[in-house]
Amino acid sequence: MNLSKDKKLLRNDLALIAFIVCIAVLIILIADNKAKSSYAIINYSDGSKEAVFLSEDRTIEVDTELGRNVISIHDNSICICEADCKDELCVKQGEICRAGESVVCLPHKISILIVDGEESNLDSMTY
Amino acid sequence: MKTKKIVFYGMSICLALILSYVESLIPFSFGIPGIKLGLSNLVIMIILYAGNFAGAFVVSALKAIITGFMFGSLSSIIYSLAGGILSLVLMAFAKKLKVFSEVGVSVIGGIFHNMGQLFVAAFVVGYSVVNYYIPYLLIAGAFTGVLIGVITRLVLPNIKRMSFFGGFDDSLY
Repeated sequence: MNLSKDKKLLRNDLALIAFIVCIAVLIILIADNKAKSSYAIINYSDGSKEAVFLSEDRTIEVDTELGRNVISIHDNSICICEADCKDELCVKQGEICRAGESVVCLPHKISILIVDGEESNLDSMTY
Repeated sequence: MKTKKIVFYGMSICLALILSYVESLIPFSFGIPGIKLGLSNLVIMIILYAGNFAGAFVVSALKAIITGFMFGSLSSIIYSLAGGILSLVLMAFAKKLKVFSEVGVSVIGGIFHNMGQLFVAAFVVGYSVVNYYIPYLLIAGAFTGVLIGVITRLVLPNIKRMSFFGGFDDSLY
């Protein structure tokens, strides 16, 4: 094998490696977006439900005959930041951001549950 | 079967086994389960270049089965066989293309060794969980592939010159 041909092959190798790293980075970026697509389900006191994406910052004010709550979504987390119930346990719980976590305001019959975009049916795995 | 052939493949399998044992002693980890250095792939690469595909296939399969019995379990045999055979077939194909040097062929081998194991894992534990590993396995496979490829490039000329086997002419295979 002469030297120039060898160089050409090595250049192809570099291109292959660069291509693979690009694909890997691309998949990581796509997977990252997916991770942000987790959403929260808000159960209201009248039995209605609403799904909100944690990626969009917004504030939801809930006024019912039971009382008033302000739900705030920012930085991929959700919290009840204001409530006029007696104990304000829901406000004290603070922000939640992981799938499966929940905030409940019992006196006002509001609950928020975070659901992952892609549900896993596994408990654990070993290699 | 010629005696030279028996000796060559016997030594190759021994070397592959010893390398996988040495590998288990080195605490080399990317922090992701299932990623290994793949030192024994070096033996497969050298047989592929200095010998032929059939020999590499037999050594790869036997290595997977014997290491499974010695250090691993049934599941490790299945994972290792799937990874080994897939990577070997694609390495042989990449070598035939004559587009890549030993390094590129080894990178392809490293990546698809991981991918083959991942396919088995996908059957066992479910696709959705496993696919998060793909990018990290790609990068790790490329990295270990480069290492093995460079070593192969350094070792191969000397192996081919070795007089013990009377050189690697076609009459041997």
